[in-house]
Amino acid sequence: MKKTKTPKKLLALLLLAVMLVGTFAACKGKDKTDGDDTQNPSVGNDTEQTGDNDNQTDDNDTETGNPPADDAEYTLNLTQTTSAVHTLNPHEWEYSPEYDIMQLTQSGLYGIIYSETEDFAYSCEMAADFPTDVTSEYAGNETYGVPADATEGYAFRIPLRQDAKWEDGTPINADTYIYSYQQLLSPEMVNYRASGRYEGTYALANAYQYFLGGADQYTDYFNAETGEYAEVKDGNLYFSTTEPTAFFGMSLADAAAGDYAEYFTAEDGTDTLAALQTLQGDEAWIPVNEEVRTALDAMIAAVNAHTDTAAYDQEYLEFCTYKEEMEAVTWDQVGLVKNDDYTLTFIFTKPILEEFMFYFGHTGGLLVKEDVYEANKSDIGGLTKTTYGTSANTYVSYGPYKLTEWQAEKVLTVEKNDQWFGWNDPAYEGQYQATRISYQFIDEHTTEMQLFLQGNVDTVTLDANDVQTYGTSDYVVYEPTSYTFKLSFNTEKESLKARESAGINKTIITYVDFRKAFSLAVNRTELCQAAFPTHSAAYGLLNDQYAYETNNFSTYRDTEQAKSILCEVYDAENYDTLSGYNVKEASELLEKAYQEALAAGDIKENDKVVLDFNVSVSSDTNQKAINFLNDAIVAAAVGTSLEGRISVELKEVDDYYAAMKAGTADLIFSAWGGNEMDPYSLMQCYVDIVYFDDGEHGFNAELPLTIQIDGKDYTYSLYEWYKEVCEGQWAQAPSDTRLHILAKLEGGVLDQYCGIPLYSRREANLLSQKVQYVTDEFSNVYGYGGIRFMKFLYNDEEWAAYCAEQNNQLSY
Amino acid sequence: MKKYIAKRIMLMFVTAFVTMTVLFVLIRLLPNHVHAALGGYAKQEEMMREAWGYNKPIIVQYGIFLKNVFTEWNWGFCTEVGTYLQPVTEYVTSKLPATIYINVISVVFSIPLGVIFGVIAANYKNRWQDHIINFFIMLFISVPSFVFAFFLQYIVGFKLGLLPLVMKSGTDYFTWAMLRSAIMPILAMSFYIIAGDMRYVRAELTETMTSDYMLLARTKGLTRRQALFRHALRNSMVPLVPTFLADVIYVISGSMIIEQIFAVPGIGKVFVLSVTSRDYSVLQFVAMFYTCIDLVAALLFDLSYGLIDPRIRMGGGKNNELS
Repeated sequence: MKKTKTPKKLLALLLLAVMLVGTFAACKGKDKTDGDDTQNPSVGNDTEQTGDNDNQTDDNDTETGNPPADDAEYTLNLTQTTSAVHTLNPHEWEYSPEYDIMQLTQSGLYGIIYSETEDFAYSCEMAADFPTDVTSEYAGNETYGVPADATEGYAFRIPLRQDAKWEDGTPINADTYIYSYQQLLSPEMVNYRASGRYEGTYALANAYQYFLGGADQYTDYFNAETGEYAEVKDGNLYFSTTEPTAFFGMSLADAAAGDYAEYFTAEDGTDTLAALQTLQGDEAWIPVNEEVRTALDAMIAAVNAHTDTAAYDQEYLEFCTYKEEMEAVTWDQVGLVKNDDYTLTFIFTKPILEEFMFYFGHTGGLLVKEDVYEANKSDIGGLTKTTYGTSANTYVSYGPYKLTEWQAEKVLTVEKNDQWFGWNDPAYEGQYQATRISYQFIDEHTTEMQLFLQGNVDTVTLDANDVQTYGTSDYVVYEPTSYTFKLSFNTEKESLKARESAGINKTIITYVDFRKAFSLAVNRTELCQAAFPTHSAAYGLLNDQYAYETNNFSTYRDTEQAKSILCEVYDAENYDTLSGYNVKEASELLEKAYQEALAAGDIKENDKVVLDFNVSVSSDTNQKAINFLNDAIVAAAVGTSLEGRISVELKEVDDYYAAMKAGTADLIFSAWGGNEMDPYSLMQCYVDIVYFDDGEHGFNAELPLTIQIDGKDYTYSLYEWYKEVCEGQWAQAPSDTRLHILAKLEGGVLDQYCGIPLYSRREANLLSQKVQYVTDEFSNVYGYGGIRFMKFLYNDEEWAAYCAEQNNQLSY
Repeated sequence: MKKYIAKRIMLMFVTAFVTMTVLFVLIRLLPNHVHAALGGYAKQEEMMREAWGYNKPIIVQYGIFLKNVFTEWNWGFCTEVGTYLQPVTEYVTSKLPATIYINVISVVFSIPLGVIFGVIAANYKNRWQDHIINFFIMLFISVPSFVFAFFLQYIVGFKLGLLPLVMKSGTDYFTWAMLRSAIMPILAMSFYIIAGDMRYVRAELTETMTSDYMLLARTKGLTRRQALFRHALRNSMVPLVPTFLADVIYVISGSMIIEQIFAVPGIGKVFVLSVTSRDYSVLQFVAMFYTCIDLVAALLFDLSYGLIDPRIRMGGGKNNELS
């Protein structure tokens, strides 16, 4: 037996060694400067580094940040989340990261860029020169519908660069534009981005009719927003069980499958939906005849609990549409005219009178390469679609960079495009220094942060915890956004009542004093410090990113009108000391709301007010924010009848916007932003039920608001004021008048306290020591200058050496 | 046996079809969605929805779906996940290699280690070797694999810089660079498998070694090791093989968290992403994909018992009764 002892010991030792080595292999250590390829800035990237550094950056260049005149490699490593980039098809893209990448691989006609001497500068990109307004040539032109007395803003002639090429060297000319716009607006393709050129500011003449391809249009007979019926000829009434109705806001089929099933059983037990579906047959729409009317009336009777049928005899109209026969338009009639091989004329449906707005709308590229676009077309579910731009093989670049690698949800790389005209144009000297830009798709923030600290990623967005560590770093770059986050209340009494239980009250939310008390109870600055350290306190619906005057970029929030309305809303003496925080007044309002609710029977003496705050995930940030709000309202309730009887509780739901719209949430965070050049149009989000209903469910945009203009009082609903200032009698009014209306409208919405602005989103990014932006001052137009003007302080080889010196753990 | 297998396969198809039908109906009852369109894009959304049949009655939609699946193997296309308009079958297939790569290596690496350490633990039951192994079993089973993943990534990848923090891009799976970049996710996935197998092997072997025939083997003059490897281990494998089979089959399921931490472009995250993004075609296909894996796995487990141990008879008919 002795013989077996030694092997057993050995075996035991071996066992121990294997397990320890297997588990803690890391503990062995290693010389970190031995050329380990993980230190390469393009880790996880197939692309080989050429290592050709005959012309090294000299020390002076590195110190000053001037771009060295050498052929060294300068790789910019960025990250995106895996679901950020689905297509680079300029006609179908949806998300901003897709647009950001396309801005590198394609060029718009013009650019709005950083300028050392001005707020910004306009640049010609694919255009050879700035546009000429040729409206007078088309004035009175019936084909394009340009008014006879029009003198400016409708038609612009643009000369194109003659040296623009695709990455394979194929020239780009006016025909390329014609083909690309034709495809964009194709009725067979229904491209996602088509509306950018058939409606709104940049709608081309007849583009909408072309896009519709002569198909009949069906419009709701009843306008739910205005409460008015359309004026149409007798007999022009149509109906469908599968199309959304004004009454339910959804189709009858969806309504029956959802919460409204009970309404589809008639008094005699007939299934009215089945009856209507039988009448509809295979048709998309059917005329409303006697049989349809009878079935609809039976359903409406069920909706109204079979009472007082005479009172709702016109309600069937809320299920009906009217038909408009659209005239088919050929491409020749669309407002894009080829004058010669390198000249185009754009003719718009509405005049573009602001210079900035014209250039702003022509900074993006819309071109597609015909052979590749066509080769990837196929019939998908009855539509002609193309997979152009969904892989490196199906995309053709024509910008400063070309797409060289794209492994979906893993990596995307662009490299300098030798065919780009800018490399030989002195106007672009010193720009686009990066030779390669590589995007890694990473969802895990800790992974991203570690890659950044190793030097393998060049910018990272900080989360709330990171800000504690890096908030004061010299490398932090703050980027304000236009998004204002609100605390949104459900104020629909029925849905709140429906979710009350014994001893639990929610209906008190419907009292405006209660909501105002909530607003006054929250110290927004402290809320930001506690939960959103990178964000800034917000008091208005529109933050300081909105410009009302684009030519000199004056911001709405800085105007007297905008300041004074906030002072009015928050009872502040002056704007500079405005805090929106007044616990004493909040307590008084809480008591007032409670007494009113008690008197009205909307709350009982022993009821507790428990408010569900719906969020999609109970993250640390959400938890902190909701705890803060809970503490704020609890503190305000001290000394009132609601002391110890009120709480805000976090509740996780899949889609909190949907929950709010369905009336199953009490509170949510909601936000609107974007359209920074037009604060007037953004107001639609706050007063159009299509937009606000999933935020401020129950808000009444029909409330009247009186505004005095030039000494005269005008009274319209909140929604109507938005329409008036954007499209109505004051759409072209002087700035002062429009600003006055905008401010009053903002005040009118805020006064209802259905959505309380809390904070404006501001992103904090850490920028690598390898690069720096061209300016320290953030611009609403071009940020910090972007990749175009970014300066590299190290080339790839120097950077790898520097990171190795720092043990691949950089300090920020 | 053949009749039993045929019956099971038939039942498997019926189950799959019923599941597919229920899934389709439930998914289509969710809020209708093509794109989360606002503003001007709502028009295009509505037109796409109409063209792609989302407005038709569910039964009609299902008929179209079945026709497409059974006549063209067309399960729809990606709208919110993957690349736009990519066929879902192609998208899901493209996500499998990375997942399989990591998991196969993990299983190949883990099963032998699990067996070896399980045998050692059983052989040295209640001695210090066994205690050490039990400690690691407890550690690896009770601590979630993503904790090891973060730990490995931070210590091995970041602090020591021994291995890349994320998996390499590309499809060159048979290169050292790719394997090296996959070591950490493989290790993170392996610990649980190793511990599970160690525990099973130890338990089975310990029981087998106390059986009468082992006593007989020892009294015949076999050494403990001879008896262990020639008799005990072979018999202990009968209930263990299905466990190994499960390890192998589930390699294509992926691990959402591990893949996310190491940026593995695998299938682990697709299911959740398709739900949160409301990409119904992807959700339908991936749900069916997992359903089929489970059904095939269940069938193989059942059949494997009979194949491994002839004493086990399938079907339960009179002809199979032992006399």
